[in-house]
Amino acid sequence: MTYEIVRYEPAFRDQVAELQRHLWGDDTSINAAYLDWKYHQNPYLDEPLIGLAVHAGRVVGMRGMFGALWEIGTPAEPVVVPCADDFVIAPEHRNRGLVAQIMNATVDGVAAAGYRYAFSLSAGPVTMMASLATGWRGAGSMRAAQRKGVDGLLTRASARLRTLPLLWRYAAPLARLQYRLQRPFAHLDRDARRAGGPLDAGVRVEPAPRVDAMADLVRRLGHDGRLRHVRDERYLAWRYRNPLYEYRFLFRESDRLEGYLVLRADRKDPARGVNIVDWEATTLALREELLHAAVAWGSFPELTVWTATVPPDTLTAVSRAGFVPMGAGSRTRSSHSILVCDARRPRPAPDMVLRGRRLLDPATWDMRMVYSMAG
Amino acid sequence: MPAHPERDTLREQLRALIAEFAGPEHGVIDDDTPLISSALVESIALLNVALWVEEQIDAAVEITAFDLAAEWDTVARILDFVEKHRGHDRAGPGSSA
Repeated sequence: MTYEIVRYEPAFRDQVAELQRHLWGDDTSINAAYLDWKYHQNPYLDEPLIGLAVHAGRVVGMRGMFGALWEIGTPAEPVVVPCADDFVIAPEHRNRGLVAQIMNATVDGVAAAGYRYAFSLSAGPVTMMASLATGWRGAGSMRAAQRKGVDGLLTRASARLRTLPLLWRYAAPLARLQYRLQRPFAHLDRDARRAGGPLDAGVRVEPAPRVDAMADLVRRLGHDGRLRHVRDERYLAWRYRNPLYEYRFLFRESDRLEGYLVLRADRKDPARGVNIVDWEATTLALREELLHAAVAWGSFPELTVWTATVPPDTLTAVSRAGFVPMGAGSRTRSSHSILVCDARRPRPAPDMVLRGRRLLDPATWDMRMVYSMAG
Repeated sequence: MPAHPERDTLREQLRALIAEFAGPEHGVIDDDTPLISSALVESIALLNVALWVEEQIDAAVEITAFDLAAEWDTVARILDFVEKHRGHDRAGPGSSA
């Protein structure tokens, strides 16, 4: 079979939404909304940077690069670095050498657009291997930790079905039924209402970000020079409109915002559990208070956090709250990692350096899950 | 401590695993056939090779801690990797854990 690798154009929108049923979910209207949000409404790239594989006029493969604004150094310098995501090939076109073609073409597109580096922060095991095979390098694991609670009946049944021949196909619909009957944030919303209220000075739970106050808090907390996203008003107003996920925001304030913790649940696959995707506060005590509220009110069957760049004192609080490291077995199968690519793909590859800092050194990064699409 | 399979045995296992994904049209896979740089082994096949390596060395591999495309580009290099890391501690090669 012959394939043509082309750059995405809006005329391909419906075909991409259809192709992404293999990755994003069955509902093509939600897929189209996700495509629009992530690539068309992205604040940092004017045009979607997406490579498509086309066969006989049909889109059969995709690799996307969404725009992200990072900051690094002291004083902080902003730099746009595209982030790779959404790699999918239609099942009937797999194992035909298409992986390297589409991966390489997309990185060429990054270079042609004038960017030196690309990052990949959400790769699952297969995409991670495909990336490493095409010259991407790792900068360390995110070291996920998870707190297990008690699964609902339908979630337990769904997990069991996933392991059974023929019946596995009913696992996802059952998980969605669980989502409709018992939404992931039902406990959190109910218990927060009981505990909170206008006269309570403690933690408040809300369904939308307080864009200005959160950006102001991030600015007040300062920056230690490590590589991180610019979490300003523009970013926050865009980031939490992701149509695949549902979010809850835990706020702790006095006369102004003193801390926040953001939780996300997957609308299409609630069995994936709830993640802590961002978490900031002016003191350790407030960080602990936010975490305690999330754990106590949420009653989540699974609550996951990335610990790679959590400060040591906060890491102790995470451990005390019952989180344990994930992926004790195969790291190949289980870990989220930072991947970096030099878009010029020089051979041999020199050390990759951005504003004087080595990108393959985990100490360069101040990673939060919200920078990736796991958040 | 159980005896490790000989290199010849490992070679046959690995070649069979790769051939399963590559298909017969790729012909004979010898010790020096480029696997990754030629796109003979990619994504799912490479994931299975990684899981096979973990099984052979009885440890997790920190897969992002080395240049996979270079160090695993041939059957010979993968076998060298296995022999080098067999018997290491449980945290595995490339791990800082």
